Amino acid sequence: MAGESGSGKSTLAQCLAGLVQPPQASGRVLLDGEDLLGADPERLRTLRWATVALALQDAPFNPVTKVGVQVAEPLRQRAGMSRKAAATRAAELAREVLLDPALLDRYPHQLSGGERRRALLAMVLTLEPELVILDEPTAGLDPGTRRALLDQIRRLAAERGFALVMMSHDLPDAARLAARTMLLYAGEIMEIGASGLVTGQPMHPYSWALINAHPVMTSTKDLRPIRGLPPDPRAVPTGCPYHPRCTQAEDICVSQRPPLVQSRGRGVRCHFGGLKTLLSATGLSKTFGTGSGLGTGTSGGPVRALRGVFF
Amino acid sequence: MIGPSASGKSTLAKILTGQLAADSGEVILEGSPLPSSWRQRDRMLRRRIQLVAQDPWDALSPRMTVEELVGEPVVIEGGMSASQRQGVVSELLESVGLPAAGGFLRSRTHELSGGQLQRIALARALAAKPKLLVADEPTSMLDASEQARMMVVLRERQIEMGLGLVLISHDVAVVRKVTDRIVVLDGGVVVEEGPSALVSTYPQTSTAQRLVQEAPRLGIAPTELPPAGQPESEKSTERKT
Repeated sequence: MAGESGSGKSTLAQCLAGLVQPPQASGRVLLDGEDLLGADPERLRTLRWATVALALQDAPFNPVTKVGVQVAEPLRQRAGMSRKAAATRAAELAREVLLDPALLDRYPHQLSGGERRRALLAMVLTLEPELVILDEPTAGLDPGTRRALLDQIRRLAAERGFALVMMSHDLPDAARLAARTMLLYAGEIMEIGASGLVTGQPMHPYSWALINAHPVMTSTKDLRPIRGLPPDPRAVPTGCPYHPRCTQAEDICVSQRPPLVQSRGRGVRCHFGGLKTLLSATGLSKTFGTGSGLGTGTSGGPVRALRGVFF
Repeated sequence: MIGPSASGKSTLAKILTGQLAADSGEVILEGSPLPSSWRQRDRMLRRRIQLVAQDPWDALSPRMTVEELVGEPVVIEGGMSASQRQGVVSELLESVGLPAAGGFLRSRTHELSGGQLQRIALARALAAKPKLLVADEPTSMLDASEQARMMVVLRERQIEMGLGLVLISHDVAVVRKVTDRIVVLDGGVVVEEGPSALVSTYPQTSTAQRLVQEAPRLGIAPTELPPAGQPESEKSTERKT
């Protein structure tokens, strides 16, 4: 699930883990057919960590307890492991998420942001959940570590068979890991579908602009972001929330909220089904040298320059 | 739009920009068919659909200075003071990698190189803030770095302004970086069409395959580098703790 800051990704992550309940949240979150919204608090507690595990981007560690103790906590509390066994398992998990186990013996402030994020990931995996929700697991990591960690996550998901929902503002990363990709903007889905389609051939004007606003190695200029800024969640524009920044907005976009429709193999929220076709040609033909043309071929006969061009 | 020589690319460019009438068929812009050879008659449409032709000398008047050439579309648009117009012209020139300094602004076409003229032609076309730009081999006289800069400018305009781009070129390496779709022309017909990344990586037709193969590549084959920190002669299997 991708989107800029303020798009609602983190809130959505929390909703999917059952952390936001009615009346603040409405609708349904079905986990294996069971609605987490409005579920009994005891039931939610049972599901948390063991079935659904969430790693929020800015989840704080307790500053006065060593990291390793916190990572091992679910093993001690929920799985009833001894201190020693839990510590051993925690160290194993740390290695699986590319975190030096020696760092578990430190306090949270002694770890870098990236290291704390990996520690959190280890904690998420302790009870072998069926659904793992990760909010920006690689933000702030250098490209090499990011790639390695993502590959590890993918490997772990395949080996342990857990479902993965990953929130990220980095589309290529997200798309490499997930079969389906969803683009959020101002709390709404703009595009949703198979990752290859959405990232390879984006159809929504927002998706297209976001995917193309990537750094170009040959440029000495600054990054050129999409003009304008994402809206304040408290002041979302009328109609389509993206219309102030959209290069193909029309009157209807200002007044009416577009529905999410199936268009070109994926879901797109746009009155025009996504990017409009600007130019097309049907059956263009042109022959020179028939008297009204500009010249003739070497043999003196007519030149058929275009013989029915369609695009 | 890629294709070998004499595939019909330039003829198509002229028809798309209304300079030439097709014998049959239609060009459809934003859902409406365009009239035939409209370029002479329709000034509004001329601004909306700009052409950067293959030969820059042809397109640029030798009687105008650089400043006048790039500034003319801005003047036509109207509503700006002289100093505001100057600002727009400077920005456009800088974006295509040309100096916005006095001496250069006063130059005329016969004093400039082909590469400089190609860039001025592009700046002039962008000055009109078109909806669609048809660029026929717009960087043939530029070196790799200048060409890269042109491509970045074009991509930026697409993102910022929703500029539609029809790039006609034989250079697949450049085309794939700046376009979403590739149309392969050969012998006056479209032989292949698809997403740029796909067509340039897995070309289906022999025409496309040939063009992809002809695309410039770095001539140096990658070689294995020894792992960092380990001299080549040492091959230790021992782990140091």
